[in-house]
Amino acid sequence: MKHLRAAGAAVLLGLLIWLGASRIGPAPAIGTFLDPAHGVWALARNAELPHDASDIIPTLGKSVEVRYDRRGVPHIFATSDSDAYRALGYVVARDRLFQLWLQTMAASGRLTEIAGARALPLDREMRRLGLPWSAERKMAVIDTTPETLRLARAYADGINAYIDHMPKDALPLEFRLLGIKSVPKWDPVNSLLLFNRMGWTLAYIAPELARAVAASRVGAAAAASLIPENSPIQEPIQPNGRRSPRFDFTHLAPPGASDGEVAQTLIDAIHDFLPASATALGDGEGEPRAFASNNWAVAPIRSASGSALLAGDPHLELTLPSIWYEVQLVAPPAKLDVYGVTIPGLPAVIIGFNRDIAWTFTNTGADVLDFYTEKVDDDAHPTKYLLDKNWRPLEQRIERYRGPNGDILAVDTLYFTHRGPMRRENGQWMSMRWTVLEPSNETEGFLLAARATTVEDFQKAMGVYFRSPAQNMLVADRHGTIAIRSTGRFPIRPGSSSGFTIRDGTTSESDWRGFLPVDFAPQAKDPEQGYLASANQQPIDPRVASYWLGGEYDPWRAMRINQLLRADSSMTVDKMRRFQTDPGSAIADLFVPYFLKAAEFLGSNPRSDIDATKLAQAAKLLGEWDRRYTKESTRAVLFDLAFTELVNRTWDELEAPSGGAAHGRRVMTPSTAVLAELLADSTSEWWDDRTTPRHETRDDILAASLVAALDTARHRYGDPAKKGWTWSRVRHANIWHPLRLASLSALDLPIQGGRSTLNPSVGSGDFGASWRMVVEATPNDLKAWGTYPGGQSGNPASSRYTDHLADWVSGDLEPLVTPRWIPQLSAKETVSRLTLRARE
Amino acid sequence: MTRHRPRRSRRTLPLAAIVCGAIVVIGAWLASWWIVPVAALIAAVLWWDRPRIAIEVMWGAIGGWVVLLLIDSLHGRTWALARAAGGAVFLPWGLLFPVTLLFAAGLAWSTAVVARAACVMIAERVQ
Repeated sequence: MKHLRAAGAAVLLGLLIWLGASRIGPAPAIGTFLDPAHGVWALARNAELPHDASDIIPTLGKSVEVRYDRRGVPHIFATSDSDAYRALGYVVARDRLFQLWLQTMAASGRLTEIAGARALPLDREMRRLGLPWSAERKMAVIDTTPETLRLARAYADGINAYIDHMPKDALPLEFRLLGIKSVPKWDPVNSLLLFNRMGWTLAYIAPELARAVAASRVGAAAAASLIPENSPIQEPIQPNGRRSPRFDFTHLAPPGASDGEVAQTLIDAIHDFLPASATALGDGEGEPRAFASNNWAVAPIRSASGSALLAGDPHLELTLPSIWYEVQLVAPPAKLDVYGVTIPGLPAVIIGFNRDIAWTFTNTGADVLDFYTEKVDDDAHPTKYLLDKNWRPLEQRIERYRGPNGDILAVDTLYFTHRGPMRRENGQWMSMRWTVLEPSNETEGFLLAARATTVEDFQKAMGVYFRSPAQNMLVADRHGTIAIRSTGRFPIRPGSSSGFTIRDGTTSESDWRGFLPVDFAPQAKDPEQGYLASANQQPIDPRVASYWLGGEYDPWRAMRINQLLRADSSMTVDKMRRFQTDPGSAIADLFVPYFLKAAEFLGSNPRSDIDATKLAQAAKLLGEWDRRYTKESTRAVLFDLAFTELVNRTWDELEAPSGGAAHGRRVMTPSTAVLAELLADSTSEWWDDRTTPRHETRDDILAASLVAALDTARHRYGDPAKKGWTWSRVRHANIWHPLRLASLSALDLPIQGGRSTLNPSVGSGDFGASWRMVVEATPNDLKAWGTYPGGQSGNPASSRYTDHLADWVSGDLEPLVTPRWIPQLSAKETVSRLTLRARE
Repeated sequence: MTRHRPRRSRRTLPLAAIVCGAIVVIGAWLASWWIVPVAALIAAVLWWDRPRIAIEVMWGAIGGWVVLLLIDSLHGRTWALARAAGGAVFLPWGLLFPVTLLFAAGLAWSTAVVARAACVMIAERVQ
């Protein structure tokens, strides 16, 4: 018995030591993980900022003082810009080390080194699109710009100093979960990878694919109607002199016969080139991708205080920790005093303000990506491609994808023409030109913008250096000037100048002719109307523009902002703040009357297949709605479901043919603006439901959608008189940690907003306002308020992990503290001090 | 009815537990979790003739880790950490504490049992 006990204990000991020291599948080694001295528990000791701390950054010129305010924002006080950016790298790494590392791994196509072969498709996408290749080329450009290189290196020095000196106990939780014990050094090229990744997020738009896909189902003419060159609703960024939106509605070409083989060849070729993540083929609810944003500014003549006001809220994927990190950099000798948000990994304040100007961006969404069919010397192993009857050498690059243990999972040979990456898909070699991949130096633009003292300075800096992803850059200064410009590289194409065609790559005649000079870009400065607004709508009225920018445009939020701004000539900071979560919906304002009229019409002209009683009930309930997506609304849910039904029932012609894997799924979804256009044509062929013998009209489909929505709402949420229909119970924001671990995420957050509201909430709720800021540019200084969904710290145990979340959910903003130098930050306001020195 | 007086051994200080716990607390900063079997081994070898040495050592290790966890808790963020880290390894968050202590307990107890058995064996051979 005694021996048996000892043997059992020996087995248990062996097992525990094995479990303690080894990872089993995705589970961490539990000994290392649970160790209270150095394991995960130690993170509790590092969760909060120490009252006083110091460290060494060997390359510092002079000591740097960092003060963290009560919101966890570091205010960096340095005597040179290099030192300020060194400290920026340090504090970002201190709070967001895992995020820095993971973003870089994702952008460089190295996720397989963490997740193994599962991540291979994602990694291949990054590398085949040429993001790492392009980052290296951009680095060569930066190498010729001593200023940028100096500050990019300074930033890297700061990150690497933190990595070098980081206590073992402070290794972030996620590294421990993944079994990673040491963090690689930061290279300045990583920042360029992150810029490219942002380009992939915001400028990866291929309307030619949407058109080809649509043509494959309904023919080229109909496809051109469904994906028009210009938005059917015009409320442009560059004011067009109107005081209301213009509805350029035309008759949509009816669905025709499939373009068959031609279209399918294109689809196959492009679709393989651009994975589904790139293609805005709709989400099934007819909602545009939520990579949207709002910004607007009011001139002194329309502001209650007589100062220019500016508001901005970029909408991106919501993550914990947030994509943004708030910071102030002060280096008086370098004339640097800037506050705002940076993206961890980028040595710049991306959106923010200094003592003179404030700026913010929305995505322009232009079409800056084209495809070319290519001829090569050898289909199997090409070395040259044909251009103007001459064979030109292809650039080749071998990409190796490694697993977590360093083993090679796959090897790709990538080819590049003078245009960009080239790939063979379905027997056809195709190359791609994309402005995101072109040599550029956006960092320099941001570095200069941080020091700009006027709107003109800012625009000059960005005009010279900012290439992609093109942004609608809104800026206001303390002199009361407001201005906006769609800034970036917009290709001038040959021939039709539209980006809807795939061009012949064997001739340089197909190449872009250059780029739209920045002076011609959509823009406005101190407009007569006294305000400027952008929300991803078409930047310039096609009746004004002599060129085509293409892309994806969404008019609804712009319509709402303009409606709000037009109605109020005495704007205040607080009104601007409330606008950012305004529950009004221009899309509801347009569509609800059509639903109600259809119900009324069908009430008088009943149809056997639509339940008249239910229709009357649904119409009554919808009629009770004030068309505002407030948290308390109990009717918004009915409209939302009815709208989804309407999209599904209207675009049945776009469903994939039977027999295929995609049978029953829509191949693409036209924009909601096109659906609005269709509403004006009550007998269009598009309204007909092909599955029924009768010929449906608009009102039939609207009524049927409303009845179906009522059924669904009752089924899902119960009695409409009870609380189940309350919007806050139905729609939530979900802010996921990048590892998709619920315990590190903030889920099911009830927010005000819905379909195409200024605080949009669609689908799974994981997109939304990633930073909200309002700035008042008084003649003496700028005052600002802001918040973002999350907190400064990347440590989930920290009180600073989600401390901004409550304000974000409720739509409140906090005043941003902007001391000019250390003494201006009161002791009460200071929660932590960090001194960075060059040596002991 | 005769009242049983507690045996003397019950009154003695749980020296093995205290020593084991102390080694764990001090040594953890150098040797991380490996200190637990080391401390258990030392205590079990020193007091191998105590019949309940494995249990004593086990409580010593638990005590050592509880002290370390208390040190971790001084900044007040341990519950938040338990919630986040527990969830990350798919444990209901409250379970991360008992699992942590159970790991230390298992390590210490099994080490002590094996060590004591070895000591007994050696002693028997010597005799």
